[in-house]
Amino acid sequence: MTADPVRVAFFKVEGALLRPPTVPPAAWFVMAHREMKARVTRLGGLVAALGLQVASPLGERKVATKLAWAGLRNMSDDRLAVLAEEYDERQIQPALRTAGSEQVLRAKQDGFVVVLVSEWLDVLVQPLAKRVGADRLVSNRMEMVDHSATGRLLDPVIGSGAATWARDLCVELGADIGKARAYGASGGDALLLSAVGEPCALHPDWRLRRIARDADWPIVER
Amino acid sequence: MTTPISVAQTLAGRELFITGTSGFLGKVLIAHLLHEVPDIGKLHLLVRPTKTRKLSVSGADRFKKIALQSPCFRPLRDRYGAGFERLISDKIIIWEGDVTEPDCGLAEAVVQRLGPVIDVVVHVAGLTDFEPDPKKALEANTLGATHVLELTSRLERAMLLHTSTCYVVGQKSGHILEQVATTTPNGKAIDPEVELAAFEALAKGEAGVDQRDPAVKIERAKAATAHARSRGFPNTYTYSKALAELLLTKKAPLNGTRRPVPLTIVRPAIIECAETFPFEGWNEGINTTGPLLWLIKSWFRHLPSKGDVRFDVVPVDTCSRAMIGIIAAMLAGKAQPVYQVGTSSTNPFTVGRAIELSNLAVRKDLGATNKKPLERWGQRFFDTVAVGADEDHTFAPNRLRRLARDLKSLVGSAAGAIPALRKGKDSADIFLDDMDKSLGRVQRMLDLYRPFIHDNNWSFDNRNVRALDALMDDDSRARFGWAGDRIDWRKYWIDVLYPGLATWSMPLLENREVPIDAVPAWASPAGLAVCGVAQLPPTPRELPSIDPVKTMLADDAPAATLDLVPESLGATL
Repeated sequence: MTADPVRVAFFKVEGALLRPPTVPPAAWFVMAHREMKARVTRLGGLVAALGLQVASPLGERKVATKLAWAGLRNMSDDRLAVLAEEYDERQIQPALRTAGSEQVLRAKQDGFVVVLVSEWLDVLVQPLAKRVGADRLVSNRMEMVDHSATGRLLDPVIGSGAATWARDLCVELGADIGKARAYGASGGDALLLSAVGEPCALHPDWRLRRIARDADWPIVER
Repeated sequence: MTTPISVAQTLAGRELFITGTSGFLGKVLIAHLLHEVPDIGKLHLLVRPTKTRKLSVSGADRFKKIALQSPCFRPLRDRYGAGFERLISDKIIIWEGDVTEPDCGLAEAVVQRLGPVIDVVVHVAGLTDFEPDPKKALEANTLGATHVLELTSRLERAMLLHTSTCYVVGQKSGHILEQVATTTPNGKAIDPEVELAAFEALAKGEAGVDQRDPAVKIERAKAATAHARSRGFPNTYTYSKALAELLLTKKAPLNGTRRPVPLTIVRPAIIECAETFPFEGWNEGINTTGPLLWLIKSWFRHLPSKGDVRFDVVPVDTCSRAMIGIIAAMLAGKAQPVYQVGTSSTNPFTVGRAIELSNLAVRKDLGATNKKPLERWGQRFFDTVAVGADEDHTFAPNRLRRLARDLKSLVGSAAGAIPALRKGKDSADIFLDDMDKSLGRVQRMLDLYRPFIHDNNWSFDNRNVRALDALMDDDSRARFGWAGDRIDWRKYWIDVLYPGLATWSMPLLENREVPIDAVPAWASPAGLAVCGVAQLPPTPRELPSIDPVKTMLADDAPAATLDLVPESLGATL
């Protein structure tokens, strides 16, 4: 008797599961850097990252992501952990979308392996993943040396772009990406949604809405 | 194959004599023994009565208050309820006395009574001021230890567990082994008797000078600190404790007119808030970390310290667990001569990390307060950072003091030239004088801490206390095994230590009361009488008719009490 094939459901945290936060997480960290000079100077880097994100083609999201998190250079792992806890309490928990968490629950009930996908740091998203009962988390990871952030993200960097990591994960889990689901919310998620068999635009921004309409993907909004 | 030690079975029916029962560690040790070793025989507690011009409180009454109202005994009161008083009367015997006196101030009949029954004397009493009156340090820490040794030698079979400190090593960085030094930290030969005579002369002070004069006392304290530093110790406290170790080590095995005493020395590192027993965060008095966190919590910005220096903190219950395990090992004949109860060698924690976690703890605390948003934002914005101790930083207290004095002078000149300003001059003078005094106290505090957070970097070997785990059975290891390596410093510092200090220690720095528990509803007057000095059971030997209360009062008990709040530290803040 053959086992049921593994089916994977990808959920993009930013947008699909969470409403946009009041304060972007990288800014939250930078403004709480121990060194006062760093707080001021690295906010400039964040502004540049934001500009790059807004103005650039999809493929440049990775650069913007790397730039945003570079501001955490020299931050201790203790500070990262405590600020992440704070951010989870004040920004993430109040921003959880009901529709998003319902979709996660439905996917679990349907027997899917639930994978949360995020451009944020793992330390930020892990509590959320645990809370919603996700099976796996794919997110960015900060390189740490002697318990101090270098400001560089470890590979693979999760931004937009080719969802190579999604294909690799499906292979690892023994799943067929053609039968996987994916829930995204921004234009940058289009490539991931294109790679799976059951894409869904969940609270899409204008870019993804246009793409979803053109591709005839379901659009869920509530 | 060696039989593993069962701590509970080894201690069952045994009788311990304990000093320092009103101190932070002493109380936790007593409560921990009663809680975890219910079959222990008896705990004989040496308690000093309080006698001042305004107040007289017997040792028994002092302990009654502790037992009924100290939060340290909460787990026992909660467990036993109305049966708590019965527990105390069954297990506790109070003996009034004082370690600064020969035979701890106990009458001969009491010593004879204790002789056949005491298994281990646990000496915890001591003065923990960094810069005390040398007379007090000598009497409490050095001579106190020798008095306890002499008493122990008069008991038929008792062993002695002496509580010292890791910092007897002095100003000598590096990996510190568990052995008693044979030289001073700066490498000079040391004869403990000669050293004792020098310390006694220092404590006595100059002939013909009124030693009670406050200015003379300050000078004497400074002279003692200089004396300690000349030998390589950071302060009088560590010097007096090191001298005690040397004297005990020399005298304990001697077979003069007294019985040689099996001696074990336990050296805790910096004892701080409890991890779990009696409850998370419990602390008492002003210990080492409280003033540092209090400073970090204020607007203070530059802490003269070195980030990579190891800061060896051990929770008080980790220490009491270890001591109970050591006592069992002593009774089983398997104890080592010295145990260092610290974390720096196997679970190191640094000053830099302590500062970082303190900043984060303050941030978390401020987030939960009702302070105005601007004030919260302002305090959260200014994290404390480590700076070199010898550099004149922007916010260095001495620099700010110079600024305050310059401002005062400027205000004085301006008021002289412009009559309209004279009105505000007095207020400005008061404000600036207060600022000068506060900064002076801060600078003094930083000077006292400098050896521990800047000048020296110690790693205290703790293999002996870890090796106890292998000697114990599984149950004993779970309850009394070494817990220092499992401490998650982030969780401990932010969720246990900081809130604990905020509740139990920082109020003292702000001249506020700390909470004590209400007398339990089940404590009746008749019950209180039980919770006190037990009547001596009859012994085979005929004793002359004695009034036990009068007998147990020490002759010439000193009028002043040992302060729980370190005088020298308290005076600086």
